[in-house]
Amino acid sequence: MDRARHLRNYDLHSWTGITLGLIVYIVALTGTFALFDNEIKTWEDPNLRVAISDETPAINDVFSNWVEETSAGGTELEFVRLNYPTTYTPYFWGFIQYHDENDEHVNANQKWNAETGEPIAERGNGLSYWTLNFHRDFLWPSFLGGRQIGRWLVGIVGVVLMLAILSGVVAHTKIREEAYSMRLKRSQRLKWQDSHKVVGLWGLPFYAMIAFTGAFLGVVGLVSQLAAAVAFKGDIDSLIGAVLGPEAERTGVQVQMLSADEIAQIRHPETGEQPLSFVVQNYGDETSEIDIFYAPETQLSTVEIISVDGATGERITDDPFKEQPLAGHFVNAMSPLHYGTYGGIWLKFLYFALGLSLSVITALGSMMWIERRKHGNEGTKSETFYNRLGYFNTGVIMGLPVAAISIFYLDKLYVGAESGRLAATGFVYLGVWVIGLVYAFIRRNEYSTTRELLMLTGALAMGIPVLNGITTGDWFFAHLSADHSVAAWVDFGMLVCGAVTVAAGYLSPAERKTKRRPNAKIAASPEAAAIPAE
Amino acid sequence: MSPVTMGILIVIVGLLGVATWKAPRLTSIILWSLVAAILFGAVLLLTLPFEFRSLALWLSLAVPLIWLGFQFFCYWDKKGWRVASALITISIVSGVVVAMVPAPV
Repeated sequence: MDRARHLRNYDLHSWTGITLGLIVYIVALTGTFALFDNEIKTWEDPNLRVAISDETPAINDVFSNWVEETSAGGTELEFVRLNYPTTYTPYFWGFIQYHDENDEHVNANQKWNAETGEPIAERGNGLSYWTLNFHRDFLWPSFLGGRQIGRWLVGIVGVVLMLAILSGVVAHTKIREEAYSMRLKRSQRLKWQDSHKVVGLWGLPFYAMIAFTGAFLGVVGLVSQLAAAVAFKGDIDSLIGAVLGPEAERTGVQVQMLSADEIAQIRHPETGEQPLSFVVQNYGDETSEIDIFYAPETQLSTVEIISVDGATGERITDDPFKEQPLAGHFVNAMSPLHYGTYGGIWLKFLYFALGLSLSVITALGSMMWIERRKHGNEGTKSETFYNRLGYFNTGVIMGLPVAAISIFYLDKLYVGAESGRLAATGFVYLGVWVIGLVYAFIRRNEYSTTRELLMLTGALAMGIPVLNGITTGDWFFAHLSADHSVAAWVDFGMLVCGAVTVAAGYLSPAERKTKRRPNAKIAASPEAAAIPAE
Repeated sequence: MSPVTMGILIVIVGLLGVATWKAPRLTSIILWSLVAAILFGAVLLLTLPFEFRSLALWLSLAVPLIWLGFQFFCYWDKKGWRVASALITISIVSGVVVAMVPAPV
């Protein structure tokens, strides 16, 4: 590769990192928490810490009464859904969507106890909802266009990450040598640079996969649909019809629907699995169809669907749109691949470690960029400018984990109305993050700020099992081998991660160490040539 | 189209022209790569001789990669003007094909 092209590519890598690196960092770090969405759900709500029985209890009367009563004032029931109890959601969960008298879409949902069928009091969205959705769409506010905009932004971050990975791989012409090069005794900057390259190269397949699946999950809703809409000259209904098949129109002839209890007994013909949930289209009409969702045979798929007639329960096999094409299997694999749901808890731990390393790489990248300009000859702005940029960078990077942990405390200490729980969660999360940012500016030392906020994060994480024990009475050591031990393992995981984080903070330098110039051999290398000596 | 809308469109096109002239690579990586990816994706959807539903799903996987490829090209080619003109040409040709080929029924 000629030098000019190499430099252009290097600039591309560097500028994608510095312009959107912090957002990539935010998405990556919040993603490591979002991996444990189900586990955190169980931790946050003590009512979910129950084991479910193998046999699904009767629910049909309760469910169908609720459907009829809730949609009574509406004009058209669009769909009905019921989730059966599972380990992470040990309750029945019904959803309906209908048109009200003003022809507006209305959604409603209700949970029932898995043993008694009694309605469960709604717990407001909070910790787990924020953790998952901040990663998915930043919970983008409606006055700025709503959450779909946020989802697109996160998807674009995935594309930017892919671009950074591609340009990074092309920029490194000596991959084999660099994958083993860790000069820990050299300058701070070389340490960061080597860590950036080594971790980046070893984790490359994972980062490429997570970037692509993330881009797909976020941006496919924008770019691919736009492409399809352009092909259909804006006729979205025809487009949906061509991909998903035509919608069956209601005839108005009422039929007795298959009951929720009967559907619960329809096992998967090949795997013998019990249904996880079902969705009814045209509820109560002779054209009604029920899509029954099962755990997939392969974990690299979200669900497996079998469609049956709403009245007779006969399987529908003559509809080509119910067949899953090969491409559909690939598309379905995107979410399990991205969230690591296809291989048990140990795979999630591996994802956690790799996701954390991605956050570290992006953080190191932005730190190196500032360091080179502040202490090298690449900077064109004043030292004050780069100092402030450094404080901002450190505050954003180190404030985020503190914020992510602080909402665990809010969840257990919150005393307000359930309807305000999510707002309070957001307020504390963003507030603590801003405090971290302000602290970095007050401290005026990136090294001390990093060290102190790292230790604070660790200490807060170590306090989570104590918080849970005091507020719910569930001390983790007594539940690690219980029937439902998920929350106890969250506590245990926080304890271990907290201890490691405190140790990492303790071992971090409190200020920048100045080293002598790198030797002539290093200085002569093509990449070191771009790095000014300290 | 009202004169006001027409005026706004002309201003936007003019500004895009200036931006492309002054910073062809930057404008291309931010804008023209996306426009070209969307229109080229639409052309593939209309012209490739495969079963429509499968093709749409495959393209939903491919379009982000096509976009990535165009973005990477923006800083790969030696000449900035060639990057911009290539992407604009792809967009225009794709737009013409989309306009001429009817949507699948």
